Amino acid sequence: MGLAKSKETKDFSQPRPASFIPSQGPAIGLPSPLGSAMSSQKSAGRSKKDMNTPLLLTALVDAFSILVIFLLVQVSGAPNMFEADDKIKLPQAAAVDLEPDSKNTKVLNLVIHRDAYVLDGERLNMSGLRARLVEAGKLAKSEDAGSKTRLVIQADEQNDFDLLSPVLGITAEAGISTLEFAVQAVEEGT
Amino acid sequence: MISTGGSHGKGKKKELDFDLNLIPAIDLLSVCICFLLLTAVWVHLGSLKLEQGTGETNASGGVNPPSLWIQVAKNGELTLSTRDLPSSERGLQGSVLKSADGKVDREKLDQALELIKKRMPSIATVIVRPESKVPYGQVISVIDRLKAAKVKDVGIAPEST
Repeated sequence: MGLAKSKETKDFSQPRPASFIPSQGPAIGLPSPLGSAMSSQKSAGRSKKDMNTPLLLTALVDAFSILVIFLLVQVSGAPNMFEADDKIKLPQAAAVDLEPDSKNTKVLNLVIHRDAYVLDGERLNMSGLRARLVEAGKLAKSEDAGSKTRLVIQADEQNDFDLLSPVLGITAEAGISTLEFAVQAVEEGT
Repeated sequence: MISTGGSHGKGKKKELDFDLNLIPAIDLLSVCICFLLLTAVWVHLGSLKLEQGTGETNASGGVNPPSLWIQVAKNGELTLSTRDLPSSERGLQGSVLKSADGKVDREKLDQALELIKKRMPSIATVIVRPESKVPYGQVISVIDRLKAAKVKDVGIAPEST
């Protein structure tokens, strides 16, 4: 059983459109409804200008490609080292350290709100925070002599320093020597 | 239109013609753009790293290194003083960097640090000592300038009242 060849083949002798033309349809040659409607208006006898404006798809594809490349570069940049808390506005700084620390470190994430301290998602008061940090310091020492514990502190730029000050004392007491203040990285001079 | 160009037999041309259908390509690119827009990192977060002395390290009783102490006031005023400098270098005792708008004057601080670096090259440690009601953002601003000036050891002291 042979396949019947379609007789409705395109006329290849005609010049081909380099772009999308409504009356001719998208590249495959089927007429679009918009193009047909415009053509029928033309045939009604009124002398109208040809409304079949070619849409330059190549330029569109170029623009899209540039956008994709730009966004890929954005995405492939260094990922953020920590998740920022939505409720606080981090201060801005230019001379930041964007590289993650060595592998042999345990990271504690402390968010300082006006009324509470949140350590790794757990809301604590001052005594609770002290207990947790001292415990973390002891654990780091007992687990591995080479391991370090670092504390990433996130606080709102409008907070008073007296909310942070007790934390410094507690961390020194707990033996946590590396402190990292989370900031929003900006370019120098902005 | 692409033509094979060669004639076969009795002058009959065989034409190879195809269209590059751009619509699926546009669809794909649109999906890619939407995905990348949603997943792109727009706000870059970083950190300012400080090392602080712990209970074990500060009981050594050794000689303190030459240091610069910066006291930060609530009104953005900075007071600079030096400690433990070698006798060959003339230190600072309470030099004040005033602020016009209640915030730390970053330019003045940059200039002061540049000058200190030239005149007192032995200073490698700077301690920031903010007052209790100083906004945290101002403290970070001072630390940021110190880091930008390539100060080796930056420390922060608990509040001074």
